[in-house]
Amino acid sequence: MRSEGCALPALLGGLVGLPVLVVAVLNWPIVVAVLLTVLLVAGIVAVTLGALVLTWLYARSVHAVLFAGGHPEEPSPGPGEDPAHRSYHGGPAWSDLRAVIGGTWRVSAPWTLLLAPHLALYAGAVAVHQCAAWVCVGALRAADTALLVVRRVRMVCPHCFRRLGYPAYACECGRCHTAIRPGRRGIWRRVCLCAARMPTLLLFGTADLHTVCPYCTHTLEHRPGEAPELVLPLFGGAGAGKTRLVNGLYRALEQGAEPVPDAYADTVGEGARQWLGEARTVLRPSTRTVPTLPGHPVRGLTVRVGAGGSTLLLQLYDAAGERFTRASTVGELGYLGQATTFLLVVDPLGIDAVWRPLGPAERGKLAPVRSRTRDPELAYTQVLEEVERRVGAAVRRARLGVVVTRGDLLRDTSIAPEGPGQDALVYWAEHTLGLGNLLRSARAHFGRVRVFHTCAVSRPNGEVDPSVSHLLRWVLEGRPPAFGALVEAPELLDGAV
Amino acid sequence: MSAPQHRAQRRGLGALVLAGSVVFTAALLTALLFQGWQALAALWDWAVATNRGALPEHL
Repeated sequence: MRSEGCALPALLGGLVGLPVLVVAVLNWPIVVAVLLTVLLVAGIVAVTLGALVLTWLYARSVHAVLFAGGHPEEPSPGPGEDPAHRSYHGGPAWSDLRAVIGGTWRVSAPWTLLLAPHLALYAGAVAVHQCAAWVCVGALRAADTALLVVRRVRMVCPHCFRRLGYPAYACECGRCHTAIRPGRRGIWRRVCLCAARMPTLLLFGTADLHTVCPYCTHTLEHRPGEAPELVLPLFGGAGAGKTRLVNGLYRALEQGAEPVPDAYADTVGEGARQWLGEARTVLRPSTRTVPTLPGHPVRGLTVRVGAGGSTLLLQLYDAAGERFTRASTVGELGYLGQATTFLLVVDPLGIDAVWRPLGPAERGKLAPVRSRTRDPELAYTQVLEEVERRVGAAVRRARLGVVVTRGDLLRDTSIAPEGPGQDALVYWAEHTLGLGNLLRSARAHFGRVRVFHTCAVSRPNGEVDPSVSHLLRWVLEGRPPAFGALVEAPELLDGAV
Repeated sequence: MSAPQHRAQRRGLGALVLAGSVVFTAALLTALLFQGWQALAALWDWAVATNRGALPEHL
C-alpha cells in the first residue's frame, strides 16, 4: 500500500511531464525566449530600483547639505587674511560638493561610483558658478583699476609716504580689511566677521568707510582713491620760508575758491587744520613764522580742492630745513620718491653773495629776518641724490620750481630783480643770487625747471600776493583747467628755463 | 560670529542639481526601458521565427 501511494504521483507526474518535455523540446526557441525574458525583465527592474535608490540617497545628501543646513562650517580667517566671511564662490561651494560626495559615500559606498554623472553635473554647476563669479571679480577689479588710471589717481599715505595700491578699511567693529577689493570674500560687498556689510570697491563707496593705511595703519581722512593726489614737497634750508609758503599756497587756493560757486579748498585732517588753519595770521607781514622743529614728525598736509566738478587732493610736505642737510635724514623723507613736482625754497638773504653787497642800512633792516642757510645748493644736492636714488631716471619727468622768497623784503633794495619775466628772473638768480651752478644742475637732471620770486605775505586787504598765485598756477599745470582758474592767470608763463 | 548661510546660492544650486538628477535619472530609465523593450521584441521575433522553422512540417 505504501509503495502504491508513492508510485501514483510519480506516474501522474510522468504522464504530465513527458508531454510537456516533448512540447518544450519541440518548441525550444520559445522556452529560451521565456527564460531570457524573465531574466531581462528582472534585470531591468533591478537596475531601475537600484538607480532610483541611489538617486534618492544622493538627493537626500544634497538636501541635507544645501537645504537643511548640514553644510560644513566656514573656517575662520587665518593669520594675514582679512576678517571677513567667505563668499559662496570663495570656498563654500566646493566644500558643499565635498560634503555631498562624502554623505553619499557613507550610505552607498562603492555604488556611489554609479552616481558619477550626477556628481559630474553638480561639479559642472559649481564650476560654472565659479567661473561666472571670478569673471565678475576680474571685470570689477579691472574696471576699478582702469578708472583709477584714467583719472590719474595715485594714492600716497601722508604719514608713511608709501604708495598705496589700495587703501585698507576699518569696520565699525575695529577690524581692519586690508584687501577689500572683489575676491573670495565678496564681489559687490563683503561681510565682516561682525556681520557688518562693506562695499568692496571705490566704485561702490568704500571711500565712505573709515580708511586706514595698510602699511602704517594711520587713519587716512582724505578719502584716498576718490580724487587724484598731487604730492608737493617743499625743501630748502632752515628759515628759507617753506612754512610761510605752504600757508601762502593754501591761502591762495582758499582765496581763489571763495568767489567761485561750488569751488572749495578745505584742509583735511587735524594736522592740516592745525598747520594751515591760521594761514591768514601766519601771512600777516608782522607775524614771525614759528620755525618747524627738526624733531617734528613730517606729515603731508592735505588740502581738498574742488572746482568745476573736479577734485584734487593736494599733499603739501613741509619738513624742517635741518632735515635736508644730511643724507640720513633726507632718506627718511619717502615722499620725495612719490612726487613729480618739487619746490626748492631759497632765502636770498641767507646767501653771502647777496648779503655782502647790501649797504649797512639795508643789512640793519634785513638782519632780523635773515636765515642761517648760506648755501641753498646743499639742500638741493641732498634732495636730488635722494630723488635719483628712489626714482632713478624718472627724475627727468619731474619739475622743479626754484622759489626765491622774501619778495616783500627785497622790493626796493639794490638786489631786487629787474623784472617779473622768466628770463629776467633766471638772469637775476644766476648772476645776483649766484644760483648759476644750481640751475645748470637742475636743468641737467629735471625735466622742467622754473624760477619764481614770491612774496608770501598778505596784502593790507588780506589778499595773498599774486606771486604765490603764479607759483600755484604752475604747480597746478596739467590738472583740470578749473583748478588753474581758481588762481590768477599769470603773465609769467612765458616759457620755462 | 554668525557666518552667512548663502541660502539663496545653496538653494538655487540645490534645486538645479536635484532637477538635473531627476531629469537624468528619468532619461536613463526611459532609455533603459526602451532598450529593454526593443531587446524583448527582437528576442521574441527570433524565438517565433526559429520555432516555426524548428517544428516538423506536418505540425
